[in-house]
Amino acid sequence: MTTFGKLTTSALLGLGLLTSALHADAGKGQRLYQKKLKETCGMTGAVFAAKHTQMEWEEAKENGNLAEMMTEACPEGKNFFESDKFESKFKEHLYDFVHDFASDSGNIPSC
Amino acid sequence: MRKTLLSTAALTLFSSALLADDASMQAEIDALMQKVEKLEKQQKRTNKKLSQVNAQSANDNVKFGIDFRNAVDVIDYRNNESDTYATNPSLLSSRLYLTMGAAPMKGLTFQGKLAVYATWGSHLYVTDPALKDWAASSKASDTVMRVKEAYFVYSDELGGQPISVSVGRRPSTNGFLANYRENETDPGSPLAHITNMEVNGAMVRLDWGRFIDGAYTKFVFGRAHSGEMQDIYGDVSGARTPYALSGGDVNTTLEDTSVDFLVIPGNAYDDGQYQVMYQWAHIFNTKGRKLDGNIPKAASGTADLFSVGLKVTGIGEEISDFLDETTLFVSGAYTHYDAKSGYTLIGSSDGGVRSGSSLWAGVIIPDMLTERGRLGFEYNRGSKYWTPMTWAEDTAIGSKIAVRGSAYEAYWNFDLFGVKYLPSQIRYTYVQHDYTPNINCAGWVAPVETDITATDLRFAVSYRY
Repeated sequence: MTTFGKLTTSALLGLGLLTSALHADAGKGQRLYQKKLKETCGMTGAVFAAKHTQMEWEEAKENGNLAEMMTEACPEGKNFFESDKFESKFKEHLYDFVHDFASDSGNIPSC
Repeated sequence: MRKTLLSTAALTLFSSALLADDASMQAEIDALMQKVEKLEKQQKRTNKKLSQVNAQSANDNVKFGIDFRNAVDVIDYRNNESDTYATNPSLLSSRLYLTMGAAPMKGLTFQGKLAVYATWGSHLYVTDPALKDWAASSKASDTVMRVKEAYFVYSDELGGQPISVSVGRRPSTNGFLANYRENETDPGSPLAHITNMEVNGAMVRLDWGRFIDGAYTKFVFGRAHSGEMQDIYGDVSGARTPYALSGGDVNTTLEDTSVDFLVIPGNAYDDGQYQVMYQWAHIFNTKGRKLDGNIPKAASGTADLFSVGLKVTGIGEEISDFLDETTLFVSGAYTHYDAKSGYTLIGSSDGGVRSGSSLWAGVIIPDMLTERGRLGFEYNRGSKYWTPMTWAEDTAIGSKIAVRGSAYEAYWNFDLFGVKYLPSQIRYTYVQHDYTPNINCAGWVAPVETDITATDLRFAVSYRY
């Protein structure tokens, strides 16, 4: 490897390790919905997310009643939304997803 | 008696005062309740209006996004037969995508992508003959901004059948499975194993999701090369005939027929964890060699390309976070070129056929160092006559997917400083060409045995928002 290559590698390796705090992933939330809820809820993720506006999803999260609001949007998913795993593992990702695709998000689906 | 009367009067007055106080307090409470109700109504109206404004500002205008990448590639070629080599220790490039999106009404969207992809200190205009508009924004060249994508999609239902129609310059690069090595979240439209080119076309998409999870089929008809014209003012030797060729496609000195294609990609199944995609591409008038006169780049026959790929996002069912975040994929592909009588394709006999096949496998795992970082490992194997249409693949040493031999690749996708808007990558690609490298459209070239090794070490840092 050239000197230039070695220098760049060292720099990027060092910088890459400076990580941020844990953050949610809307893409992961979308996959979670597709895998765990799409069939149960009987609607696509886009339709589920569009049940509320961004502000409504935000308020629900702030007030600690996101699970209730999601259950309201999909009653068949009640057990999932009330599970410990939803609270500890899935909530943040799903929230990111529904917020990204809320009815007033202006998110434009791809081809 | 007098005292009693006075006391009674005082008591009556006091009670009246209390009653009066109660009444006024009640009136005040009622007034306050009315105010609260009014405020609640106002709040509802404000929220509704805010949502409308939010939706309008997002939907009724073009939304712009930026994807700005700077990269350095360390390139090395070794011809192990002739013991010659070529190197570039620092190919520096900048790539700017200006992405556009609009949704003026339900069911109608527009997407666009303007691109500049330039080497640092490039010539003002790069005019390499082999650089066509099917790779113009995908190969580092000059600082001219070009249209990489621009298309609209209209979606509706016809008798319960969801259908989408689209026309324009398609999202036909970095498709299914190639997005990982490109550090892109969403893949383009086609299967990158056989199609990775910038093209214009018309598309009809039929959704089968009500029968099978995630299933759909697209029918795309388009044009990859505009022929049947000499230049924009026509055949200069005779009458002025803009955008036409004297004699049309039977012109014997300039046999330049337009190259059209029909591509049918689709999802066979997608439940969020298991995804199976398929594609058939048929190329009309693909370029080869006319035997009479030994004319290259002549319309020489047809090409058919097939591919099927499986992607598994998350191994098992919540066995561990590591396996949940692991992606595996495997894809097989086959190309079949069929020359017309009097022509040859990829070194076939007169009117003969040439077939090739390829395997592509990969695994993407969490890097275990950063929150969103991923390590990817890929392997490609292609046969002697394997000839996909992947000339817009963004690999400085040429498409590794098109390798007639073996390719090995490893990459680390991570967020610089942990900032998700700064996606970065270190990627190493090792390619062993056992036969003539297939790096651009050259159906008139017969592959011969060779022994060339090409490597590309890329460092890339992007700003993406």
